[in-house]
Amino acid sequence: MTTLLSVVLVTMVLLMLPCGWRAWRGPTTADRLLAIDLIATLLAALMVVLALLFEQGILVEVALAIGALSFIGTVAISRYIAEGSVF
Amino acid sequence: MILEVLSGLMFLFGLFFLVVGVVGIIRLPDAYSRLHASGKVATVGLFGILIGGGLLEPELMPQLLLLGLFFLLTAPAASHIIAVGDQAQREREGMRSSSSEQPSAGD
Repeated sequence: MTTLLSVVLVTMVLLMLPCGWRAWRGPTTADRLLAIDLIATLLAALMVVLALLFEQGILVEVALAIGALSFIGTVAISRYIAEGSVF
Repeated sequence: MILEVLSGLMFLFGLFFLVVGVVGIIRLPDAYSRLHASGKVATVGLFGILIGGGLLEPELMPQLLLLGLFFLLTAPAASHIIAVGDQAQREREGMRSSSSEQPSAGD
């Protein structure tokens, strides 16, 4: 099971690289924003796998914090590109 | 034993859907299509990972279900607000392309 978890972990780290490419090259701002949002989702899944691999249950709450901060950041940047200001 | 096998299958299921989501991010032609790929497929992939983890360590199941519920609520909202922001930016800059006239493509 540790081998499978390690394979899943390495694959998810490798999956972040194409998302970073899209965030770098994306033609529109929405492309960059959704690529960064997908990186945050991958990072939350990565934290769950790390919690199982190291048997540290506290890392699941790190995943919850990453999800909350990513959602707030996505909403703020999206309102910024829509209206020119956050509030 | 059977729980471990089921958990491994759920991990592979979730990993498959995450790979499909990232391939969609790279290969789909349009910003709204890419939003479709990332918003739906990645949520299913995360759920596969979460259910696999819950089957492997049953005492972590409540936290993992809470995390899944949180992502189930916020991932469609984030996709929707990215699409709305992109459309408002296009209208503000006056660059109405043909791809912006498919309002259902971005969830």
